[in-house]
Amino acid sequence: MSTLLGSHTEARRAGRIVQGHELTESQAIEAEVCVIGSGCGGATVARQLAMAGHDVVVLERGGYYPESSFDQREINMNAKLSADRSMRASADGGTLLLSGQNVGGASVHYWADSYRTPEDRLQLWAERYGVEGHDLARLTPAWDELTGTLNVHPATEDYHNRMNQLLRSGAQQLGWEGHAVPQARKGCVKSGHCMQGCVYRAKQSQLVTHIPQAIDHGARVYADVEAAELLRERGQVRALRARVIDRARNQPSGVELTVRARAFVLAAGGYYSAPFLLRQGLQKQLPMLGRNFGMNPTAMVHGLYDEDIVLWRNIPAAFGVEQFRLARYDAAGAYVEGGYLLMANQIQPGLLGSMMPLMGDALGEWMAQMPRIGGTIAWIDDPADELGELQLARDGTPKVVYPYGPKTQAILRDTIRKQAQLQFAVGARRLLVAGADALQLDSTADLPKIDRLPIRAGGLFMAAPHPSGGCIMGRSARDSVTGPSHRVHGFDNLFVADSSVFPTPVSVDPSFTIMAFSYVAAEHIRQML
Amino acid sequence: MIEQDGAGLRGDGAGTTASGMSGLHWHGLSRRRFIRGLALLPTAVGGSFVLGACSEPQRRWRDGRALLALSVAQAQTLEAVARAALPAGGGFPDVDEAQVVRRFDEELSFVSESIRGDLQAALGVLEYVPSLYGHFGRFSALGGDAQRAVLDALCGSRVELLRAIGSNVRILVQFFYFAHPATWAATGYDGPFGHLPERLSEQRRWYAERTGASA
Ligand SMILES: Cc1cc2nc3c(=O)[nH]c(=O)nc-3n(C[C@H](O)[C@H](O)[C@H](O)COP(=O)(O)OP(=O)(O)OC[C@H]3O[C@@H](n4cnc5c(N)ncnc54)[C@H](O)[C@@H]3O)c2cc1C
Repeated sequence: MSTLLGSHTEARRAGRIVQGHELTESQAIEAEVCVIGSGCGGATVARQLAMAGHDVVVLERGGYYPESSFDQREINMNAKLSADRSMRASADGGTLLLSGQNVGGASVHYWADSYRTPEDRLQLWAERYGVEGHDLARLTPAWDELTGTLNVHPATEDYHNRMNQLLRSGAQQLGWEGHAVPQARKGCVKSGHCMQGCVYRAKQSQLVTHIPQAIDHGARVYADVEAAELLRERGQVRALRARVIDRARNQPSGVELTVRARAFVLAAGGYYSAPFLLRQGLQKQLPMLGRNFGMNPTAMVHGLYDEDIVLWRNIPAAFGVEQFRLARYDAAGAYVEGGYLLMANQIQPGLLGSMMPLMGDALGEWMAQMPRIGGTIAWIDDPADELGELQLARDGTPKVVYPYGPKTQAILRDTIRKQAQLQFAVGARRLLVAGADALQLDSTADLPKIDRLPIRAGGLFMAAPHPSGGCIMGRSARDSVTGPSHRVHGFDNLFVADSSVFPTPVSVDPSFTIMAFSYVAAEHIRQML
Repeated sequence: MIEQDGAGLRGDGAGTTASGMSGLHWHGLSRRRFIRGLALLPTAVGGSFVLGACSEPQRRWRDGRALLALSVAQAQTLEAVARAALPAGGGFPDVDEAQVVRRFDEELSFVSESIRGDLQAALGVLEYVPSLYGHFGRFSALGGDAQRAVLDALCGSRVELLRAIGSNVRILVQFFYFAHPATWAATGYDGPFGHLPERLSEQRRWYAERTGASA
């Protein structure tokens, strides 16, 4: 029997993962801190607080899938690890919204690129948005520690697959700056299954790092438990009502948990944190809720080569072109170029096939040559004045309204042009822009065709793996949702610790920024305990 | 024709879907010709659902198993999209062998209501949209070339909603197809790295049981 008190005392002695099927009766749980979400944001906060001796409970909507449940099959693993099976799209239907839903969150299917936040971005956030206390001096010790914990190191030569070698050589030929990408890996066997979850525990996701470390220090992680309602009294959250999910049906089981804690930390991820607060009816109190939403839409160009590329093995992004990270504008403010990170693509056959804008025999002809298909991908740094908004769909799930404004369009066009230029420079025979218009390019003479390509939602086949904003950090409730202490304006004990606090996207992959921000969040939470 | 009239239609309801479909919002009422061209669509979509509900109470697919998310009519439209979009011959397996319709029904059974509803509606629109492009007959009754022409027109449409319908259904069909092991030999994919046995999740087992899959 697991009475509330019994399981609580027992769990305090030893942390553990509790799964939905073990939760057969509604019950109340007490802890010092309750964290909602177990991704890079939530797991890091939980680890920091648990290691400092605090009693932490983590609630995770998704299931607990240890490596023994991984089978490296795309659809099977997508179903286990991804929110809504990667079938959620922006309101215009044009961009697939990718995020994790499992213990460890998106880190379990991420690529493990681990960039420190560029200083120019931290300065922008501080100066324009009032993000104080998150400068290089404050974050560097966190990154230094994380570099050890997650074994972050630049990808070495043997981890450059053929596409990454070509990317590097193309960048060198064209004089574009780029570097080996810092990777969070230990003993990687080059399986190429980062996006299916790493069976080999080599990718240093939260599942194999901060989650077990938090548990070792007494944290209790409840998988299959969805935070539903904050029970509040003025500026205090007294408790949280959560529902247990029957994992087999992916529906509430009818069992409820009530969590009483001194502090609550929302870390449901960039797509879910703002909608969670919207569902609490906080929009009037927090007019910026859902605003400044960015998602780093990605544009891809596939290439057909004379040699084998084998895009699906080894690590995805060993080399990154950083030359165009920041958009450049001329003196008159007109867009010149840039505003994206350019990488080698890595996709297994299902995803590659789905991103091929061809049909019937034409599709067959490309896919029959899959070993010789290479490709590049770029995630754009959404312009700060063209960000979108998170709202609620009719069933209470996130609705992403994203404008694809003129600068965004120009950036997308520029990255397609640069990707094509680079791939032709390294020997691609033919290129195919991943988009409904199915633009094929046979040589550099075709590059001007890119200038005529309509850029619009649903035109390019895009996915958005890096949500940010919606609960942005700033000075007051007029311009933001949280303050520099990660506390939600107007609340004493409600914090946000994930990418939704970023006022703009990070301009590089965000996981390392999320984790370092969680270090800062944990310090502030400790001060109030 | 709708293409000349430009973007006037957008999904404004759930907006959370692979198609952004539900709660059709007619935007720019002055675009009369556009509206006239699409006027029959909602009725047609509604009609297909009613028809589906009345005539197919059991919702069994051709493989003898129950459908949980799709009606038989929707499954037929989806199958037609798959046959038109996917390669035939060249060593590539048939849509049935790659279990595209079955997998689509399975995936749709576990996603949020808004996503499921939008994709179901998208299939309804797809079935009745050919008349807008000068084809007489429902999508599933057209020949392969006509079907591909309609899909191409949808994906390249200047109307956001139609683009979303065409692209998203196709993207999903192609994803389920090329992720299926039956297609791998034809593509030169050597399979998952570790050659691990398939490990079915609770949801896969639940779906198999509910739809009457043989063990
Ligand atoms: C394919 C892919 C590749 C990527 N590669 C990289 C990379 O190489 N480098 C990099 O830096 N970034 C990468 N990213 C992005 C990175 O993985 C994410 O930005 C990061 O992991 C997000 O962490 P998070 O904690 O903010 O959110 P998440 O990881 O999304 O965690 C939030 C968790 O909260 C849970 N949750 C949501 N709502 C509730 C609720 N109501 N109750 C309980 N739980 C809830 C969710 O299920 C989820 O598990 C990639 C992303 C994708 C999709």
